[in-house]
Amino acid sequence: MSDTKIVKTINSERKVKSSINPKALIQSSNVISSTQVSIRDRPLAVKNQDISNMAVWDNPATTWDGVDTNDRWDSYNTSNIVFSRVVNKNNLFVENFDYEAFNISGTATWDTTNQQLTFTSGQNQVIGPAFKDSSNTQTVVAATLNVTISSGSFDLEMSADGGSNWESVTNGSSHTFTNTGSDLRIRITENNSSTGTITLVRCSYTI
Amino acid sequence: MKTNLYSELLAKLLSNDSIVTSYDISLGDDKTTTANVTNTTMDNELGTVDATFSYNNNTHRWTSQVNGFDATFDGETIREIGVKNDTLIGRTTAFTPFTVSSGELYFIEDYSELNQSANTTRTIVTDTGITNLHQGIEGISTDYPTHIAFSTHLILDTFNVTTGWTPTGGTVALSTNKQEGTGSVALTKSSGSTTVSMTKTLGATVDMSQATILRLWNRINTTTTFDTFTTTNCLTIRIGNDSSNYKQIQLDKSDLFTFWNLLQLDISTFTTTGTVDMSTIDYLYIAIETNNSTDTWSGEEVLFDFMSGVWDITDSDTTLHEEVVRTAITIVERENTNVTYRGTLGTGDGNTYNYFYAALFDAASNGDMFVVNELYLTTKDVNRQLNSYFEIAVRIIS
Repeated sequence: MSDTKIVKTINSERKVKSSINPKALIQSSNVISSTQVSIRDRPLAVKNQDISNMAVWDNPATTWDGVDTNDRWDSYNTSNIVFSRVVNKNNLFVENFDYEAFNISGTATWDTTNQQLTFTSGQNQVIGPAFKDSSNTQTVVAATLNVTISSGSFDLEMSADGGSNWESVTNGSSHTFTNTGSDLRIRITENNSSTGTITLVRCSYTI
Repeated sequence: MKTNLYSELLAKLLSNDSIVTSYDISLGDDKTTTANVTNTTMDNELGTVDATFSYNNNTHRWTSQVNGFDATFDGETIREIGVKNDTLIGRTTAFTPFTVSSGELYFIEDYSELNQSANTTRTIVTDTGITNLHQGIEGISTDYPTHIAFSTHLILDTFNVTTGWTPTGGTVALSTNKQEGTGSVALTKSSGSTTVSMTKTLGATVDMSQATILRLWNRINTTTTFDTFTTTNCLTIRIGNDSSNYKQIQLDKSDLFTFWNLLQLDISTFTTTGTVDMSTIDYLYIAIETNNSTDTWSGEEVLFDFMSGVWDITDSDTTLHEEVVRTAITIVERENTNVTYRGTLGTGDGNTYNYFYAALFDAASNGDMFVVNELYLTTKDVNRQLNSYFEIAVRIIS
C-alpha cells in the first residue's frame, strides 16, 4: 500500500502534562488549549453630500420655513452621496462581501449572506473605491490584486483614475499603472460564458 | 487602525467584564503622531458625534454623520478620525486632510473584521462565537463561555462487547486488554482458510459524512502471530451500508507492528464498492490474510478496540459532535488581551473515554459553542482528574 493511505500508526500520542497530587494521590492531567480571535482593520471611508439647497435644520443658507416650494418637507435624496476619502491600514483593501458599501456598479450578485460575489455569463462587477482622495493629492502608482476564485474564469482589471481608464491585471501580480490617479477601482468580468463565484478580494496598493 | 484597547474590550466581553457599548466617532484637526495600536488619545480632538454599530457575518462597522453646519466642525480641517467608547479603540492612518464645509453632510464609516484566520484548522473560533462577540460589542448580548465540553470521535464500535460481531474462520472473545472503554475483542483464527474475518451490522447508523479519518486500535501480541500475516494486504477494513456497498482499505505488514497499533486511516484513499451513503454507516468488516490456510492462533493474540471516525471541525459548527461530558468553568482570568478559562473533570466524571476535542459553551447544556479545539488524545479514568485550561488571545492582525 502507499504511504498516503495511512495517516499515522502510533502507539500513543499524548500532548498532556501529568503531575501527581501528593495529598490526594490523584493523578492530574493538565490540558491546555489555545486559540485566537483576530481583529483585522478594514477601510475607513468618508462620503460627502451637498445639502446646501435642502431644507436642513441649522442651515443658515436656506430660507428656512420648514417646507420646500411646494409646501412639503424636502425628500431626502441619497443619489448625490460620493466618496471623498477611503484609506486602509498598510494600504491593503480587503472586500469579503459582508457589506455592499463598496459595490459601485455591475450586474453580478453581491451576496452578503453567503459572503460571495456570483456571476452568470458575461456579468461584471466594479468594486471600490479601494482608495480615494478627492483632493487628488495622493496618487496610486501600482497595485497587486488577489482575487479568491472558488469557481469560474474571470478578466481582472483595475483603474487608478476612477474608471476613466481600465488596465488588465494578472491575479497576484504587481501592476504599475499607465494612468495613475486617486480613485482606485477593481473590475471583474466573467469571461468563459459560464457561471462563477468569488469569495474574497484583496488589493495592495502603492501611493 | 484599531488599538490595543479594542482588543482589551473584546477580551473583557469574553471574560464577562462590563464594557461601555455606546460609541462615538471623533474628529481631530492634528496629526502630529503616527497612529499606533498603543495609542490612547488622538492628537487633538475637536469633538465627537454619535456612532451606530452594526455587523454582518464577520465584519462590523461604526457609522455616523457630521453636519457641516455644526459649529464644532464648520470650517475646521480634519486630519484624523477616531472611534471611541469610554476609551480610544480606533484611530485612522493618515489621509489627506479635508475642510468641513457648511452645506455638506459627511458620512463616516469605519470597518473592521473579526475572524479566525490565524488559527489552524484544528482550532476554530466558530461563527457563533464571532456573532456573540459582535452582539457583545453592540450591547445586545452578554453571553460568554461558562462551560467546557469534551468529546470523543464518531464512535462506530467500542469493542466493549462481542455482541453483533460474527466471525468467519475463527472466533471472537472479549478481552480486558484494551486501549479505550472497558474491553477489546480478540479474534482467533482456525485452520482451513487463509482469511479470518469479523463482521458487524450496527444497531444504529452513524453519520460519517464529515469524517475524514477512520481510527482503530489493533494489537498483535507476538511476532509468531505477526509472521503469519501476508506481506501485502494483510489487514482489510471496510465500513459501509452492507456487504455489497462499502469503502475499503487494505494495509500491508509494513504498516503494522507487534503490540498495540493506533491506525489512523485517510478515508479519502479508501476504494469504494457499490454505492456508499456515508451518512448512514452501519456495516463493519475486519479481515486478516495469512500466508497459509493452516496458520492459526488463539487467545488474545490479535485484538481490536474502539473504531471511530475523526470528524472535521468547521467555522459553522454549532454543536460538539459526540460530546460526552461538560464541566463548569470555575476560574476565568483576563490579563490584558488574553483570557484563560479553567474547568476540571473530577475523578468521577467522564471516565473510560479518550477525549479528542474540547469546546467552550455558554450553558451547562446546549447553548452557543464559541470555540472548538482538538486535544489529540487525552485519557480520563477514575485515578485521574482532568484540568482543562482554555486560552483565548485577542490580537490585531494585518
